[in-house]
Amino acid sequence: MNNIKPRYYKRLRYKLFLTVFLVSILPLTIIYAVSSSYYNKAIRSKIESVLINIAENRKDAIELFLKEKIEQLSVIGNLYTYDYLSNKKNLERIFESLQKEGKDYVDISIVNQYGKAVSYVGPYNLSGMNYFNEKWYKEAMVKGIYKSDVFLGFRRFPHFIIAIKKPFDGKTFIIRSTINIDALQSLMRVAEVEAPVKAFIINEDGIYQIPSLKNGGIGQKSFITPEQPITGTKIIKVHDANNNLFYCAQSWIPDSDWVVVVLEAIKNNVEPLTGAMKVWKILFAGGILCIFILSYIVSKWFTDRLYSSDMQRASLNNQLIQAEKMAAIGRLAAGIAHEINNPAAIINNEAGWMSDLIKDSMKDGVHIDYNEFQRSIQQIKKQVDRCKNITSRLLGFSRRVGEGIEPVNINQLLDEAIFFLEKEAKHENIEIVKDYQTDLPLWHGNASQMEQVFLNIITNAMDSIQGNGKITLKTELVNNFIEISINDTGVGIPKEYLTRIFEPFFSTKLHKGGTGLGLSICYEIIKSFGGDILVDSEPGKGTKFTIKLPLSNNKGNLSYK
Amino acid sequence: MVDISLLLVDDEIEFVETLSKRLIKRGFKTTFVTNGKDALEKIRTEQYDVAIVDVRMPDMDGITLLGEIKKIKPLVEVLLLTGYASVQSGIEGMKKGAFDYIMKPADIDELVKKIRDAYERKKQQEDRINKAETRIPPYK
Repeated sequence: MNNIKPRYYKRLRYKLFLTVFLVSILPLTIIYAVSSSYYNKAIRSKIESVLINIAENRKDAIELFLKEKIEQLSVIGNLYTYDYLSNKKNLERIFESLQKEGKDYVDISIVNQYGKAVSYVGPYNLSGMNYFNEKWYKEAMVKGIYKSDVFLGFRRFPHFIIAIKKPFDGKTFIIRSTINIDALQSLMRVAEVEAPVKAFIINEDGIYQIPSLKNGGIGQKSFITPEQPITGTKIIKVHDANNNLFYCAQSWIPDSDWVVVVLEAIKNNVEPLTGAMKVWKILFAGGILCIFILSYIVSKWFTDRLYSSDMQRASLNNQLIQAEKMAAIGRLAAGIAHEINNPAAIINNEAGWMSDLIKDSMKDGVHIDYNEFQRSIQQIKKQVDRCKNITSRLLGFSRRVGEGIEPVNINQLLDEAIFFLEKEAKHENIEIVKDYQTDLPLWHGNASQMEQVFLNIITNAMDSIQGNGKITLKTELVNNFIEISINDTGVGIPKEYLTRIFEPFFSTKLHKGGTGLGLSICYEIIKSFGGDILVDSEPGKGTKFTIKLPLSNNKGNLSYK
Repeated sequence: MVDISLLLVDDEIEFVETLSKRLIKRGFKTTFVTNGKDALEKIRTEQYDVAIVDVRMPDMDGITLLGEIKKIKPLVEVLLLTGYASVQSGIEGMKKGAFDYIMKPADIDELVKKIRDAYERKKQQEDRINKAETRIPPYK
């Protein structure tokens, strides 16, 4: 009666597991996603603010350094006259005092308005050089102040030039100084020591001015293109040549074409900040695992329980069906006994008759009428065959309790079912009318169970007929369904009972030995074949049961195990 | 010995035909029919002492036939033939005036004995009726 198939339960378990699992992890996942998104945002803004802070700090320091140098050179121009400075001895004194501040100044020279170095103090003898065609000279003359990019020059050490134009008696001269970048480099190193960042300076073309360690030398192009001149500090994400991702804070040094750049590798620097996130990730994974295990246990437990309860129900159903079948056979017993008794009586009679003939012959010496004898023997044989037919049918009925699916001729099955009932019907003056569709296709199902259904409904019909009556059995094919209708002219079923007749233990014949299971079992059997049973009744006129059996059955396993 | 006249009623012709032969051999004047309607026809037109009637018959069953026979010829004794499953109807028949019932398959000697008993009762009854009629003073 049930589809007790391991595959069905496996699929059910799988579905149940998925449902429980997905529904359970949904809120956890949402919480995880939302919180990690907020968390990441918070971390990012923290990283950004740290980077911006470092970049601005460095920018301020570099700016201060450059301003200081320009200021100092400017002051020299203001304090001393061209003539004074043109004297190399004077310039040496001034250079010495500058050196006291730090070793930033490499050399100093005074260039007149014709581009000629009139005096020079420094490690190289540049006195008398003519700079008239040099770029720095031209720019310094135009702008008043000139700061060069860092370059190695022919002396092979990194330095840059600051040149300041000063007026003198209607003429101008230029104070030019070479400054080494040790101080600038150490200013940038400070940032790298403080935080896991790379800090360096590039010019507006992306050329390294103060390089970070291992990031390429002075004069090489960095992988960073500076943003358009900005005030304040901007943060962007950049990829290097190896496709590593960095946060990049850029800060332009005012009044120059230099940009302070601070880089922080995203993957590295997210790490220390996400300690809490790590815990949360582990918790999340642990939660998912717990839910997975629990879902598995719950779905297994549930389907196992369902399976065993279905098994119990099926076995109970099986017993009920068997009991009901035996009851049906009992119901037929009277008719069958009569069917067997009649030929037995005839055989008894014929045997007696033969015995009579023999006794006569012995008494009177008359010859036995062998023709008469032969007739009796034929009659006995005929009656024995009749008995054999009955017993074989009965055996066929009671023995056929298998659960196999086989092609079944419904018309023939109906004939078999009414064989045991026909005589009884005849004696109760019930006419059984067959209205079969002769070319009915074979139905694939269990013959024994369907025979039981027919027997049950037909005996009900016979019980319902009081006095003369008629039972019409009709079969026809309607839309791929075999329709079997059993129509009686009996007392009918009261309307209030119609909806209940397929319920187990509902019976109007309880006191007459009905179990109340017959129709409920019919219902179950028919449903298990994917079919349907309908009832239509009018009290006083009769009842019509219609059974619909599908030709193609998708229910799969129809047996009860 | 007086001829006892019998009417056999059973829907199984094979049965009733041979039974009839056996009873004839035993000296009974026997007629058989295979349904209730023919039986009533015979009862009306002929004289019978005992009717042997099968309980289970289509159209008209034995009990109904018994009632009809008793209506037409109340003195005809009726023996009912029953199967195992219809013993109850045999007893019911006796309450409605049948002389006795006998279960199929019947032993011929038992059947003959019951026929004689039935005939005996009919005879006694007829004798009593005759005596009673002679006692009545002539109507003046």
